[in-house]
Amino acid sequence: MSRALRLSVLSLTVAPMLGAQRPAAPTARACRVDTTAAWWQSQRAYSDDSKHDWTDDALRQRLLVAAGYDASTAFAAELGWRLANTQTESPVDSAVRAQLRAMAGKRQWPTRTLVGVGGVHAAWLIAQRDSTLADFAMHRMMEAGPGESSSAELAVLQDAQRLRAGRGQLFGTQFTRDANGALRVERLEDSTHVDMRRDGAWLPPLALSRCLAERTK
Amino acid sequence: MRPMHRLTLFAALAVCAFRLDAQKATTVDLTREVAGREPKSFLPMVGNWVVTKDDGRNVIFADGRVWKKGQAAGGLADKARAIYGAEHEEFIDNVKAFAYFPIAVARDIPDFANGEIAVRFKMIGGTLDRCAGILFNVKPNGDYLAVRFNGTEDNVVLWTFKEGKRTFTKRGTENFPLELGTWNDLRMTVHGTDFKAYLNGKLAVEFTLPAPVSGKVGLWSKTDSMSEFEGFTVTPGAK
Repeated sequence: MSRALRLSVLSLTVAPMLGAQRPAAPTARACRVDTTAAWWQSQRAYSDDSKHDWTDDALRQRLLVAAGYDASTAFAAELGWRLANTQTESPVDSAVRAQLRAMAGKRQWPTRTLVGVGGVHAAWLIAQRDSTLADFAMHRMMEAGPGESSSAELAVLQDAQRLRAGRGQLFGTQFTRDANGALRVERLEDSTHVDMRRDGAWLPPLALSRCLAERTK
Repeated sequence: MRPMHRLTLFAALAVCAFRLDAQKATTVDLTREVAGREPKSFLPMVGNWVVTKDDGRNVIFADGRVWKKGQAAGGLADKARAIYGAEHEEFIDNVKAFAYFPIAVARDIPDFANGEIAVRFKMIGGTLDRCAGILFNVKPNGDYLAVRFNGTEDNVVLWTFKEGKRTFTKRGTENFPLELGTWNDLRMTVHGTDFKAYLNGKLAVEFTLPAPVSGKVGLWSKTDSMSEFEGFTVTPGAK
């Protein structure tokens, strides 16, 4: 299972136990994930791969293997937070990397139509291991249009890319820990409207993401 | 004609010419709009446009969150009929093809051919795009020109929309890394076929149009952009 998914599932399952051991942590009530909320439902609806209607199964399989991602795992929502700069660059299967770079060069990318939701997620995981691929992925996912990739995953890529470029993040998905271990949101541009942007990107409100993040200490 | 009479006639002609040149600027008034409702001063043809409050003022908000590909704004037929009468069917036919680009036409600006159009915009967000632009030369068949700022590319570009297809026309060479949540000024001038666009007072695009323009004007956005607009002002130039 990918790191992102592990973090997401961890947040929902293990976090309440950790919270019980740490009186200062947010309460389970404050961190409650409402599965009827629009952001959750949008992610859930997008994640439906049951029609098996993608067109390039060979590429999908290559991506799944390269990412080490099992597309049959149960739905796990993107909860809109991760520790910035913890995604270390790591080797990507050279053939897959070359193929993704070649696709990006032709303004293409593994889309939902091409490789299904599982394949898109696998490509996203791979892209995060390589900042050059991540930049390609971000631009091609934006160009591909709505429904061809996860808005939440695209938001995460954009935030990471902007921080790398020395600009403020837009969706508040990137957190950092200070010397005392306290979580803080990395530099955020226009914090007034961050929850509107999160709503548009199928992400939970920032307060909920922060709450969930704090519970995973 | 005696010299004195000639001087008087020249002075009179000069005054007339000055009056033609300095035609009155029209700023679209948003004070009577109702927050939370679709604007009346701008007719939303594509996309979701609402009036919202920003710092206590009414502004126009292009809300791309609820945008869905291929969906035209509600009541499109009535609105097209309101501005183009019997010719509205062609407008609707074409507008469906470029529904990717929300547009709202200024109701009370009958035509713009020469002069200046200015607007203040504030980008709020968007996952796929963060755009705000000025729509002009809107024809009864739905063809138009648009000059816009794109916050995902940090540039100003002039686009041509013809028969439902978008064609790149001229890209500004300078990058403008604007911050979200800040007000910015986009201004364009047309004098004959001479086109210029300015961002925050700085020349961003310069282009010679293939033909003089004449048509409706308004606001332009793209896909899931969330952008606010205010101070839409049209200043006609000399005829």
